[in-house]
Amino acid sequence: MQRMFERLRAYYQRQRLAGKLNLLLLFLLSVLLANTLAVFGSLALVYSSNATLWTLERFKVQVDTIEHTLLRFRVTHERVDAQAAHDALSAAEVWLGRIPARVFADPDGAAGEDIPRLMRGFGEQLRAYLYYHEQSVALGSRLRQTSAKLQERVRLLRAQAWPESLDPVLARLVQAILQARLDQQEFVLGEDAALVGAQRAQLDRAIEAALELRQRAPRIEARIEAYALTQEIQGVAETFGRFAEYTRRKRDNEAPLLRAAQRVAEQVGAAAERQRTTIVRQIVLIVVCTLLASLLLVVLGSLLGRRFVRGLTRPLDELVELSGRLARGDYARRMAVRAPDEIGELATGFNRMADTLQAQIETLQSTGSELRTRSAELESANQALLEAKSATDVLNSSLEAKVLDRTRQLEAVNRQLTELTVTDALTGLANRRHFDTVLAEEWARALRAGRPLALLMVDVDFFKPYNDRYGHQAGDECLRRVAQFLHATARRAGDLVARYGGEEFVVVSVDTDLSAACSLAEALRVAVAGAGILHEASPLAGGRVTLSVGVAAAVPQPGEGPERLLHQADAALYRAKSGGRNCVALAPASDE
Amino acid sequence: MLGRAWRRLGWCVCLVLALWGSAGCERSAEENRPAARNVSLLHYFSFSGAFAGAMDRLAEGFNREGAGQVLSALPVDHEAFKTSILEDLRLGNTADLYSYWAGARVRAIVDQLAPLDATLPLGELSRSFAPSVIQSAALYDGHVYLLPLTQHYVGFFYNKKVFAAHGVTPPRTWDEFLQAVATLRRKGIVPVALGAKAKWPAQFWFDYLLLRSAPLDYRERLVRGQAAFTDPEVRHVFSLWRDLVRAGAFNARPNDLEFDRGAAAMVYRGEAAMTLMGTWLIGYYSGPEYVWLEGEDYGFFPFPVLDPQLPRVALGPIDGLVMPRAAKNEAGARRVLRYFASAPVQEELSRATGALAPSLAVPERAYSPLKQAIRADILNSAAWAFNFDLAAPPAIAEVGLNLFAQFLEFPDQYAHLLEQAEARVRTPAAP
Repeated sequence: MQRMFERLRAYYQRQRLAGKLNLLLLFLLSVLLANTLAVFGSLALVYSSNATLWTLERFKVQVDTIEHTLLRFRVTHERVDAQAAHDALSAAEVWLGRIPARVFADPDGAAGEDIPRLMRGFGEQLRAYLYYHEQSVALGSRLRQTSAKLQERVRLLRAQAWPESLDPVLARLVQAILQARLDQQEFVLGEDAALVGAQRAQLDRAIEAALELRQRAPRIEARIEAYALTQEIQGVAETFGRFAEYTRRKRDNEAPLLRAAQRVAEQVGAAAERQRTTIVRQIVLIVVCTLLASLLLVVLGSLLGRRFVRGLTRPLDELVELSGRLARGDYARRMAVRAPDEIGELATGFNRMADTLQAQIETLQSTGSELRTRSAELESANQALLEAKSATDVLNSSLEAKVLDRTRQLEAVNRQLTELTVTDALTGLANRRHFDTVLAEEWARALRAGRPLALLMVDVDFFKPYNDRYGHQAGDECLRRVAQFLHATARRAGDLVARYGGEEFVVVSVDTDLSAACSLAEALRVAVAGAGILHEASPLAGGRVTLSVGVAAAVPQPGEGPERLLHQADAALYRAKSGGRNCVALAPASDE
Repeated sequence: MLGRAWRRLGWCVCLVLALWGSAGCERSAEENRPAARNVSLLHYFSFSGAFAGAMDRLAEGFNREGAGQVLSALPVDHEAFKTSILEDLRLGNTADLYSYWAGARVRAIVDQLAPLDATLPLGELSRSFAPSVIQSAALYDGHVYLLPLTQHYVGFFYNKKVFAAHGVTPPRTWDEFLQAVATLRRKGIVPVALGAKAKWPAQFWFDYLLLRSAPLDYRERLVRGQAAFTDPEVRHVFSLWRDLVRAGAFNARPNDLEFDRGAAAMVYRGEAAMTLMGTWLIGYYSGPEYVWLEGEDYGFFPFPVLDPQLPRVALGPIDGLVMPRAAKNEAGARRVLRYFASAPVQEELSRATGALAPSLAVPERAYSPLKQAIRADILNSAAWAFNFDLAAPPAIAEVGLNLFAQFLEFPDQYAHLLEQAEARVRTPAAP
C-alpha cells in the first residue's frame, strides 16, 4: 500500500508539471499565432496601400517632369526636351493605368476631379502645343529664307537702270519692305498681334509700288524683276501670316497647358494625401483588431486550459469521491480499470484497498488532506496565467509606438516631396536649393574621382541702375535673357547653370580645371556682352548689359566642403567687380 | 514539444521575411523598368476626308505593337517643311525621322543622314521594291538612305462629263491634244487649268514637254548643270509651251491660282476640262469637299506622245522616310522604319495619299481600277524620272521654278528668261 501511494504521488506530480507546461505552451502559441497573423495581415494591407501610394508618387514625379521639361522647352526649343516631355507623358500614363480608380474618388464626392480624364485632356493639349510649336518653328525658318530672298530681289531690282522719275516709287518700295521686316522682327520678339496687320499693310504698299514699277518700267528686264519681286513679297506676306497664326495658337495654348499640368499635379497630391490618411486608418484598425484577437485568445486559452487540467484530475476526483463514500461507509462502489497505466494500477489497488477498508481508514484520510493541498497549488498556477496577460499588453503598446513612428515618417516624406521643386520661376534655370544639392553631390563625386570641379559666380553689372531706368518688369526680362545666354553657352551635359539670387548666377562645371573654367567664363561674358541688350545706364560696352565673373576651381580634398570653393568664387567675383566689371577674375588654384 | 514550437516559430519568421523580401524586389524591378520612349516623326503629308487621321492611325498601329516605343507623327506645313528640315539639321536639333523627297534633295543632305542598310538590308529591300525605285529613290553612294513610302505619278485628270459633252476623248498624241484644246476653247471651256501659285505645279509642263521631245539622257545632263537652258532642246520646249499659252490652253493668271482649291476645283466645277497634276489629287477629290468618284466623275490619262521614236518616261515624285544622324532615339526610329516598310502600312498609305505603294508586296487587287491602270502605265514606261525640283540640286531647282513662274507671266519673253536662268545657274547664289 505504501508503495502504491508513493507511485500515486509521483504520477500526480508528473501530471501537474505536464499540465502546467502544456498550458504555458498553449498560451504562448496562441499569442504568437495571433500576433503573427496580425503582423502578416497588417503587412499585406499596409503594403498594398503603400504600393498604391508609391505608384501615385511615381505618377506625380512624371507629371512634375513634364511640367519642368515644358518650362525648359519654352526657353530652349530643343527637341530633346519635347521628346522628354513625351516620354514622361507615356510613363505617367503607364503609372496612371496601375492606380486603382477608387483612389481618385473623393470620399466627400464633391471637389474631386477625374484625374484620368484630366490627364487625357492634358495629353491632347500637350500634343496640340507641340504641333503648333513645330508649325511655328518651320514657318519661322521658311520666313527667314523668303525674307532673305526678298532682300536679294530688292538688290537685283535696284541694280536695274531706272529712270530718275521712278526714284520716289523705288524709295517707297524699299521703305515699305524694310518697315514690314522690322514689324516682323518686332513681332517675333514681342508677339504683339497688331504688328501682323501693320506689316501686311506695308507689304501691300510694297506690292502696289512694285506694280507701278512694272507698269512704268521702260525695259522688259526691269518689268520681269518687278514682277518677280511682287511674287516674293506675296510669299513673305503669306508665310508670315501663317507663322503669326501658329505662333499665336502656340502662345494661347501655353498657359492653359502649364495650368493643366499644375492641376493634375495638385489633384494627384490630394489623392496621395487621401491615400496616406487611408493607410493611417488601416494601421489603427489593425492594432485594434490585434488587441481584441489577443484578448479573445487569452480568454479562450484559459478556459480551455482549465478544462484540460480538469480532465487530468478527473480520475483523482473520482478517487476522492469513492474514498468519501468509503468514509461514509459505502463499500459497494469500485473504480473501473480503464487502462493498464498508473491509474489502472491505482484503481486495482483502490479496489483492493476497499476490500481491506478497515485496516486502511487512517491512511485514506491523510490522502484526502494531501489532495486539498494540491488543489491550492492549482489556484496559484491560475494566478501565474493572469500575470502573463499583462505582458501581452506591454507588447501591444510598443506596436502602437511603432505605428506612430511610421506615421511621422510618412509625413516627413510628404514634406520632402513638396520641397523638391528645383526650378527658378523667373528664369527657368535651376534654383538656389537645387544648386546647393548639385554642388554638394558634384563635390562628393569629384572627391571620389580625384577630378577638379569648377564654380563660376556671375553677376550682371549695374543691374540696380538697369532696374531704376527700365523698371522691374524689364529687369526681369533682362535676367531671363541673360539666363538664356548662360544656359545656351554652358550647355555641356555636366554643367549646371543656376540662379543664385537677385542678379547673381552660378555655374557648376564638373571635371573642369581653372583654365577650362576661365575659358567658359570668358565665353559666357562674351556671349552676353555680344548679345547687345541695351543698358543705357551702364558705361560699359557702349551701353550694353555685361557680366562680371568670378572663377574658382579645385580638386576636392577629404575633410573640406564645397563652401570653400563658393567663398573663393565669391572673392574672385568681388575682384572682378572692383577691377572694373565686364571681366573675369580667377581665384588662386591653391590645390594644384 | 518545445523544440517543435521553436521550429514553427522559425518557419513563420522565414515566411514573413520571404514575403517582405519578394515585395521589395517587385518594387525595385518596377522602378527600373524603362518607360516607353518617344519616336518623333515630322512629315509633310496632308490627308483629307476619310483619310484625315491616316497617320495617327498608322502611329496607333505601331504603338499597339508596343516594344516600348511610342511614335508621335506630326504634320508640318508642306512649303515650310522644305526649309525647316534643313535648319533642324544645321542646328542638330532634329526629330528622329522625317518624310522627304527622294532624289536630289536627299543627295543634298546625305552627309547628315544615317545609312539604313542595317535596318533595311539591300537584299531584303530588293525582294519588295522594284529595282528602278531602289536605284532612283533609296540608294545614295551605294547605301540605303531612304525608305520609299509613296510613288506619285503625274498625268492629266479630266472631267468626264465635260469631255463627253464636247465629244472629246483622252488624246494619245500631241496633235490629238492640240485638237482637244482647240475644241474646248471654242466651246468656252478652259481646256487646261493650271494653278501655279506654289511655283512647283508649273514644272510638270516643262518636264513632260522635255521628256517627250528630247532623250532622257539630255534631261539628266540639264538637271546636273551639264547642259544649258539656252540649248535648242530647251528653247523648243518653251516654244511649244508658249504656243499652248497663245492658243488659250490655260486659264488666265495661273501664278495667282492654287493647284488644289484653284485649278482642281475649276475642273470639278466643269469650268476647266483637265489639269496636269500628280496622283495626290485622287486623295483630294475623294475628300469631303468634293466626294468625286474616280472613273465615274473624273478620269486619268498619261501625257501624250510628241516624238514616237522616244521611249516613254513616267514622271513623279517618290516620298520616303529618312533618319538624321543626330536622331535622338535611333533604336525607336529603326523600329518605325521596319514598320513602315511592311506591306499593310504601305497599302494604307497608298489608299490615304492616292499614290501607288512602292512596295511590290502590296497586291494589285488592293488598288482601284484607275490606280491599276496607272500602275500598268508605269510598268509599260521605259524609265522613271523625278520632277525638275527633285531631280535638280536645290540651287538649280530654285532657278528652274522661278523661270517657269516668270515664263507664265511673260510667255513671249522666254528667250530672255532662258538666258537669265542660264546666267543664274552659273552663279549659284542668286535666286
